[in-house]
Amino acid sequence: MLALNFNNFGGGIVSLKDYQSKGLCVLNGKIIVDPSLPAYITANRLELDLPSDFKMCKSAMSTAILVSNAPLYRDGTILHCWIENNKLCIEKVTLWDSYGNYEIHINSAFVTRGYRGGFSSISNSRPSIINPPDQFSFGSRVYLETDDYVYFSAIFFSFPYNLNDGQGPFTMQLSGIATDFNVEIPIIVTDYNSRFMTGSKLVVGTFENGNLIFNYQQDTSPMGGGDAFFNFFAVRDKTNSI
Amino acid sequence: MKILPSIAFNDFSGSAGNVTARKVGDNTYLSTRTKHSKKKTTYQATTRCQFADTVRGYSKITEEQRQGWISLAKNLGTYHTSTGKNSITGPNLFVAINSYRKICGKPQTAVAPTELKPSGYVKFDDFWLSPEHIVFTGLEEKENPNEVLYIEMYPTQSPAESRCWDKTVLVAICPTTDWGDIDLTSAFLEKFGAPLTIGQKVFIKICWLDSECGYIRNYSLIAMAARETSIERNVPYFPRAKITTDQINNNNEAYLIDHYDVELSSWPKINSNEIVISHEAANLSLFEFGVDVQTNLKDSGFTLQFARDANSYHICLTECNIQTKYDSRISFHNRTFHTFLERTEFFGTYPFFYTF
Repeated sequence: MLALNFNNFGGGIVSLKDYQSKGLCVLNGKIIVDPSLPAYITANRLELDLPSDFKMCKSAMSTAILVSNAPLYRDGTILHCWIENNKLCIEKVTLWDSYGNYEIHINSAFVTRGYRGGFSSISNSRPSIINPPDQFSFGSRVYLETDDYVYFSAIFFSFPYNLNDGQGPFTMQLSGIATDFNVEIPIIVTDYNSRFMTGSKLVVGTFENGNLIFNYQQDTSPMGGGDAFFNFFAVRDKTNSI
Repeated sequence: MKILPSIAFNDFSGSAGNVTARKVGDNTYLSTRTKHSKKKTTYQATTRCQFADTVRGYSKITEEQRQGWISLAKNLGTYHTSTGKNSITGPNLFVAINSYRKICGKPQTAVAPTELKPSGYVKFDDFWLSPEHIVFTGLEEKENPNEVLYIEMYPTQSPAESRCWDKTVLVAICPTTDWGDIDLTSAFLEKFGAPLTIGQKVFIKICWLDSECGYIRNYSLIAMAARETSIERNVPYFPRAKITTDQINNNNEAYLIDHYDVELSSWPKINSNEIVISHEAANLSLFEFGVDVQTNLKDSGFTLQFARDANSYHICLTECNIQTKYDSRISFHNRTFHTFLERTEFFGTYPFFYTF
């Protein structure tokens, strides 16, 4: 577990799960941002100091997800996120500042470039859903499992739709995936009718013991249904170091 | 300036015409003005002009500033140049430091620095020195933002030449590396006019130089004959697996590839990318375009990755197919029902899965 003690936006200490190697790092965690702080207002981008012994001082471009505090939908978007000069840097988007504190979720891999070694193919194992197919079913999914982390991306053909299925909580039970990663992930649950809104509708779910648990904030405005999706890297717990 | 010992004028000093006499200790020396005998190239003319400017600069600084340089030179003891250790005077130290600063694009400094940060050795993973490629890879990240890579080279003209460390000339100053890579092929051709031949010996001095300080002290020395394989792994040159904007052949007028930067890294095979596609026609769900067949990324696979509409900030999930192993085609399929609007940004780091 990494503790990031210093940042340029006035935030508190941030804890991130981590897997580190020279060419690839995976980070998991949540950053709370207070947009009313003077340090945040003057910052052009958000920067968090990484520990001096962090194995990567510079990375290629990666992503984070902004989850706002906007009512009903917690709208948000993906952000550019990368490592530079031993700092974790995140694009600053101010669209939802007026709604107060927002969250930035980092469930991403960071790589260096300049690689000239060989490549091995990645096997795409295919997790299965145990729930009835009318509640959850995959449209497309890719899943990668290594000893240290997993990567999982999926878009759903069937997914709970709050106007029909209520607020939840919902549990998607899976087989064929690791059970030793615990991570909070934003799920993009924008429905077709909201295509012209700013940002995407989001809910934050949790992967625990290989199952995904989440609930909608309310059940009177449309969220979810088919075409919900997620995309994340997660550190497996056995690699965590205190 | 050519200096001649003289026995004719024991107590004479001063100038007459092109002759200057000066007394040093018990001896009097006559000096004559000389001209560069060799033919002037543009580079030589520029270098001499810059050197003359730097020398003249010393005459324009204040006495207090001169004393600063003299004091620094005394404290230095010996000064390390690319030709070895020497004791150095204040004026010469001023010229040396400011010459290297000028090479690095820095203005002349009148004030002697409080300390001289010496140049440092260079570590790298591998090096190709061949007729087609002069490339360092895996150069370590610089710790000091002022540091630049300073590279001198000399290709021998005959097999009999040896120990040519005093013949090396500046080939390149590199403020940054490309993820640890430095490609000197073009700079070498520009400097020496002809590519290397296999077996031709080359003397190379390379160091990390603090461009603010301009003090060359430590440098790595490489003397080797040009060959087809690399110095460390002994493998033929092979490029990084990447595709950039200039390798995209897009014939579809419906959209414009503003930026394309994709590279594969390590195991598991990871694709890091930053791509921007603009399109006047909204409601597109597929971008497809060609790639230069000479691309260095020869592969067949896909990523499932995020995309963001630049105006609405909508998040899409996109399947990016790279088919450059047997074909030369890339496509982006929007897997969500949100169509791509006017400008779409694809970015992030995702595993690259094979398709067959």
